Amino acid sequence: MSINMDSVGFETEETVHEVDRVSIKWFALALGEKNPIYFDREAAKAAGFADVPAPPTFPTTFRDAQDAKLRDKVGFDFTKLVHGSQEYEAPKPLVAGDVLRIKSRVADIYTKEGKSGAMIMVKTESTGRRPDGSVAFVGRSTIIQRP
Amino acid sequence: MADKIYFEDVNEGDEIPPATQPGITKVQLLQYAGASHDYNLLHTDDGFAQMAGMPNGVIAHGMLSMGFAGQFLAGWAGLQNVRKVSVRFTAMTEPGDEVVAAGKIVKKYQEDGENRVLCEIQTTTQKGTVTTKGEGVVALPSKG
Repeated sequence: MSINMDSVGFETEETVHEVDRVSIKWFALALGEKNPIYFDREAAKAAGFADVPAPPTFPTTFRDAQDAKLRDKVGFDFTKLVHGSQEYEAPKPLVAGDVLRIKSRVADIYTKEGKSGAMIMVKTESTGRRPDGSVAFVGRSTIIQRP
Repeated sequence: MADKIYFEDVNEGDEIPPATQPGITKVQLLQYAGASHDYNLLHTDDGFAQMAGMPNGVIAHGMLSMGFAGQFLAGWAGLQNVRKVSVRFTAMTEPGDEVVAAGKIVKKYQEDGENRVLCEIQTTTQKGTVTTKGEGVVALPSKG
């Protein structure tokens, strides 16, 4: 299978995700977190959060069938993929109870000469919005398909 | 959590106190796979990982190291102040590796009505291998 260069600009359908305390708890535990703000609503409130907050990289958990659709559209060869880079930007931390409308798109695809041949760099961007339309987070990834 | 840090307290070039993680365990990789919904067997199945060319079996999720980087920034500046975490994945991390997140302040500036600090961040294993390299942005309160 080869990469579909024409998939630049492809956008997934919007999906709705609710940030919940249990998901935050397990995510924080996997990171070895000990800070009670991630596990206890009262501790979170005492620290000034409306509810239990999510760690900065929590948007990585919002995977769904739409992401699979995006990957199909790009035509990745899964045996050759490397996660090149990742970025998360958010005006404030996500907290339990947040309802987010998420859309992802293929932002760019280009090739780069590597030691063993041409590497295909695929940039994707996901945006999560709150019900009022404001941006809750933006995630940017580079996925590299090795030769 | 550390004492509250103010914008006036930090200077360009200052080192951020490093944060060391205990050695990564295979159970932690299972936990991270479940919690993040990343079920790539490269991180949880030694046989699969060896077939994929990893001599010692499973490798850790790159996103776990990025998680440590985010945790490091949040531990230092306070989670409510973290605005951005951005990393390139530069090397693999294996079970048993002890990851140290470290960084320094590159720039102090104003943006979106906030006092922001751009930091250089990286994660390194006990073997000295740099596994992620990137930057973070935090907004710090002013003593005003």
